[in-house]
Amino acid sequence: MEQLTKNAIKNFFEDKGDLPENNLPVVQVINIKRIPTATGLRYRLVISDGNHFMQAMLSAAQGGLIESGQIDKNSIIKILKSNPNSLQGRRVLVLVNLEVVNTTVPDKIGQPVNVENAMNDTSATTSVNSASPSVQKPSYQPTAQAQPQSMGQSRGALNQSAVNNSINPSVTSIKSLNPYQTKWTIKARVSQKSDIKTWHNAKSDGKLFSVNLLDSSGEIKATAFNDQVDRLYNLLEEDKVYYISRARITIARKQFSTIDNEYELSLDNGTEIEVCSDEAAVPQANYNFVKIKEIDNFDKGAVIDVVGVVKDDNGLQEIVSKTTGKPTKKRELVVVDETQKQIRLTLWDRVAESFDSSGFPVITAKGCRVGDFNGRTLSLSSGGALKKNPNIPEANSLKEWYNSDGQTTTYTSFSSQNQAFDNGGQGSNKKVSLLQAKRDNLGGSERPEFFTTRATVVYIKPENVAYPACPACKKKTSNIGDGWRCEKCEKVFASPDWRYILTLRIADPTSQLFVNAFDDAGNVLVGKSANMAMDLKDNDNSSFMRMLGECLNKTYTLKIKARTETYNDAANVKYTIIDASPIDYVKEAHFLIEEIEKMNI
Amino acid sequence: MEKPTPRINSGLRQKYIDKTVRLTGKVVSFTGESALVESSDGGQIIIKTNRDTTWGTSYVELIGRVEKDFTFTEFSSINLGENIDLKLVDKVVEYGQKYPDLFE
Repeated sequence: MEQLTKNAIKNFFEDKGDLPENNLPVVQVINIKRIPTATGLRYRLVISDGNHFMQAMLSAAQGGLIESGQIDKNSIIKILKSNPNSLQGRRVLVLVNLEVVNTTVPDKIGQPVNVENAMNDTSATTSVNSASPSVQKPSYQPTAQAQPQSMGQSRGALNQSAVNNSINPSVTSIKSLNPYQTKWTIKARVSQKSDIKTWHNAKSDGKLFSVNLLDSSGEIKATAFNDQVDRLYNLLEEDKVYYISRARITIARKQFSTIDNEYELSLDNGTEIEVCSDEAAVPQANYNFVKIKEIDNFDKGAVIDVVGVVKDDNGLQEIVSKTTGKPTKKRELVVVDETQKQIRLTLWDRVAESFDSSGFPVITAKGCRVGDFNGRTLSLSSGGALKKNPNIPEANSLKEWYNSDGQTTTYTSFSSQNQAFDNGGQGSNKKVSLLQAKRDNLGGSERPEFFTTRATVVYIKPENVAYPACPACKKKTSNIGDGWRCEKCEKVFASPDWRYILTLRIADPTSQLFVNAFDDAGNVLVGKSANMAMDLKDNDNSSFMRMLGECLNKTYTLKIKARTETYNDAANVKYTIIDASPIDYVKEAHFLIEEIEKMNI
Repeated sequence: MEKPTPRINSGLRQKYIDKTVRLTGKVVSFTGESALVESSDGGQIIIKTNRDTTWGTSYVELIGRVEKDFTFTEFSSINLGENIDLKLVDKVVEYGQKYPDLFE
């Protein structure tokens, strides 16, 4: 390598051929090609300085040197005079005058790479990779370049960008990465680094860790496996910016990531990662915050970012994961924001363990999965990132809001879909459809929940429609032959007060429900008192059945109480109609108008 | 009626001159030949009544044609009783304009 002039080729390529250090450079001819032309035979050479090679043409006058055998493959020559030129859009050095230094040289010196490609790779020239230095087979075709604008470019453009490359290192945007690009470099910040995870299964076992990379165009996930974990885990630090190239672009596996990108990167042996000190152009984090009130608009499984104040912390709990059976740690926080709504956010594992919620911190949570338990909940995904009191405008304004209003505001939660009955009160004005009631699991706990709905009676169970009640205390009486005795009052009555205990099915356009109704509601639904109904049942069953039939297909506005009851090891949600009223069309119409107005088609 | 008859109020008369429409409103006054009806947006419309029909209740729905002078010639009428919320009627008129596919 001492024989050849260092950087000679690079200088020629960059048009710095006139520099003093490039005076009479010595290069090696690593290939010769005969080109017959109209004017005679011309020789095209590939010349190398041991690091790079480029195309050269021997001037007609010098052709004799080849023919006489003075210049052969691997010969070393000294260039006395040359002219840079472009042939078919590619840079070619025309060798006007030269001197042969050494004709017979057994081997190619060094491992020169095509200077055209190398120029596009300036950002990744030094690598932290301790494995073999990047070797490229000398090729005469222009290989794909890293710049997105160079895709499908003509030869002419190649020439252009080759010159530009010395001024601008070509960095690809994360958004434009795709598996059809082989040479690219990204400049990205590690927005999140995961723990090292190990797995053992029948096929294999090993370890991995992953990072989320971020630049101004987008984000992508990158994973390192096994050996690469050792190499890269300490190198990549959260919040630092790196140049990365030569990683494998693969299709993203969405079930393991919340990042919005079709592809992800696999960091392998050949991947080059270099710390970048110029962090200027790379953003800190890309957030798309959703206000807590609006989380309702997102379906279960959606991934969102939130910013809010931690109002409550239910502490670190250890549970056995339903999916993997492994013990996991979790921490449930209650997060609020200025939309005056609160939502539960669950943290897991390391994030859960290390989180300190004292002082009502403002947090940003990126990559939260929306769940629908009790309305809406949030869970920080494994690729998600949690930051406490970050110095961003949204967080700062939230902190101000909390300090002034937030502490005293009462918040509505998602668990009851209804503003009006946070106290479980009887006056529930908000309407839900039956499907919504089931979907929101109203009555899923032992604490009763109330809702109003408009539904139609479709079936009434004809058996056991009423019970014999004590006229005084309404408790069930027993028939003792010539009277009815109430245990509680210790009195006997000639005839009991029958009270309805109806089991019926109601339906609306969305769903149907089995419900119970007691005397007050029963009277409305049947239209006759329970006493009369029982009378009819005993004496004229067919009339009774006909009467029941007439109750069907009538629509009412119903207030329903929902509550989970356990009976013989089975827990079910039981629905009871506590009020049934005929439809007030005017009121219903106004309600419909409200709903229509909200629709905004 | 096979042809769709859009519901109108006094404000929409301009749009439906010479067209057959429906008008729901409150009877303000009535003579044999003409009547004054308050439509759902509060405007009053002069009706040229159809002598064959009888109006029984405070609220009526009329099917007829809007004339060039903005009076309304009645073809037929329906009695709607005493209890109509004209605000709701106006909403229907409004939605009928906004979502014509649903109503025509």
